[in-house]
Amino acid sequence: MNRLGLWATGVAFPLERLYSLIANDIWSDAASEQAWMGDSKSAPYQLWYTDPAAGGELQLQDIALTCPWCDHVDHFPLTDFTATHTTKSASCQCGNCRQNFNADTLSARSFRDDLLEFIQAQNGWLTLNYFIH
Amino acid sequence: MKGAVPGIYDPDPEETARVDLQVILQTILEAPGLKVTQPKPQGRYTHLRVYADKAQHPTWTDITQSFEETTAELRVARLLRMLSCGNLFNSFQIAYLGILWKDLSIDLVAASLRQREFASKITGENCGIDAPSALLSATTRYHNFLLLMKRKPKENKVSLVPTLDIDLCWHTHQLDAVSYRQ
Repeated sequence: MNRLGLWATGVAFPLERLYSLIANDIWSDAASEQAWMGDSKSAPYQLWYTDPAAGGELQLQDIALTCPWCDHVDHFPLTDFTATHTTKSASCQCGNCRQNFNADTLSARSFRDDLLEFIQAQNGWLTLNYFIH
Repeated sequence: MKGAVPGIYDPDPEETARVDLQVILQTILEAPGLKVTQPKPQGRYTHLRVYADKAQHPTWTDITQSFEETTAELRVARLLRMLSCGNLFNSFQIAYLGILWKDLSIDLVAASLRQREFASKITGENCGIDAPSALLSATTRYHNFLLLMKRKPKENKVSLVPTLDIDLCWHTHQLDAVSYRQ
């Protein structure tokens, strides 16, 4: 719930650098690709290996998701995972704990987990005596 | 979850919003002041708190039911109006229901489609927005639009809709997130 740090680091969308790549007809930033591949080895940096304007084809990737029931990172075929969002009947199953889930149960679990994370936090609870009347 | 709570006064974005959120969550989970009518430990907590503790396989049907039960409890404890955040449970539902990536709190698939539609419109050949004078004008108009939204009375529930040029400046400004927040 309290995912501090991302904005505190001053992260900003590098609009000028992105523009510079496009203006100089450079398809991909090599340094960014190197950093991405070091951090996320299984997923390619680009969805198109070459510029789609020059004929590069879209290469969609499967989904890596941390199962909220067992914390195991599992991979799901993109079409199956998408179906859990676009249809009411489709579901995916975690390969580790065998839990079936769809968009409804996954998001409900996320909400419940966020509430529990707050409940279990040991610090930061306020005295609410002024609330009671 | 913080993104789900509307109306948080946020002059110190991280700290104040965190404190406000703590007050809100503690209220909807424990309802301080609520008379204990059930055996402990359930009696200390709201329906939502008990449900969150027990439900291993929660569904939105059950959560929605729990929201209704908890709303009734908060009304009894005279805490509902003190939350003062509009329809809080509805906001939670919007921020979570069907969202597959819990850290994002909006449906980015739908949002991206809307953004793409906007981008295709603003980049149309006949748009003419690329001229420096047009963009300078858009920047001024964007600022005026923000001031207009700030002045808009709270009782006026009609939200203002930006024009294409104002929206372009708005989205571009948001990309510089730190500066935008300040």
